[in-house]
Amino acid sequence: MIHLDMGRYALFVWPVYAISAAVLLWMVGDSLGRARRWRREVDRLSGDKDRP
Amino acid sequence: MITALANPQRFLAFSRWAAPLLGAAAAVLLALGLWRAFAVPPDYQQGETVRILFAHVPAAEMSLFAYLALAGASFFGLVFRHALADAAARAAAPLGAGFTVLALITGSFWAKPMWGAWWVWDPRLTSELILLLFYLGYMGLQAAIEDEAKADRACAILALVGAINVPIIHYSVVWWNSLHQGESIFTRNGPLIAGVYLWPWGLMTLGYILLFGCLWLVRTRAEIWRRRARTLAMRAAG
Repeated sequence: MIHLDMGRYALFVWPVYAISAAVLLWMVGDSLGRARRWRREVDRLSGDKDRP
Repeated sequence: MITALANPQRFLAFSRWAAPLLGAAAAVLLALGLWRAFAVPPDYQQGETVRILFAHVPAAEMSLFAYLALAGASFFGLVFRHALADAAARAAAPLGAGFTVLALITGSFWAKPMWGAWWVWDPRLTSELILLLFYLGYMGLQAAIEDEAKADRACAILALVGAINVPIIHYSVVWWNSLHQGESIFTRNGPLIAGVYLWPWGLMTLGYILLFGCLWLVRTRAEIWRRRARTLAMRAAG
């Protein structure tokens, strides 16, 4: 059974999970975005599309 | 294996399949951990706030783990002058800073209902805040020095100096009279917390470790390409 009623602690529990999700998603998005951006830049500068 | 991966080309080939694999495993573990975190009964003393610890403790553990990765890579970069080690160190810093911010914020949300204060200048909290300052200092120094080789060396020295803070954080609850609770999982007599809470903690911790592993590989790849792009741009400019 899942407990979703946090009672009087709801204002402390839910923000923790919301903030954790936001920070982790930012980490994922920023990391993937950087990798994509620099790989494209290398491809653009070298004209080589067959990199690992 | 480390020697084999020291070759950037081999590292790129390895990380191309390893990063998505780690990412997928992390997603599964985090989903399971989240499910267990809300399936366990409330603690008899902490009530529902015990669920905060399943997000806080793994983040705090990762803040130290990421710093060890940063310091280890910095050591290899400084001693062996290996560009891949420098790239790995640079890649670890923002991730470690993110986990440290999470540890501090989620800790505050637990502290307010349990201690009655968002923040206290407790040895554990203060040393964790100093850890964040080391991460921010590392990234600031990196951005401030234009010569990348010099920046890598200066940042590596800073990272190694900051490594002194890691055992201080870990043992702060033993060395000083701390408000923060002491070690409750890896003790000589086994875990001091109820077995039912070990599962969500374990799943979330493993999920965070694999997520860090995945993102570290992705960011190191990005750093390798950034350096390559810089070299190509300089070559093109003559």
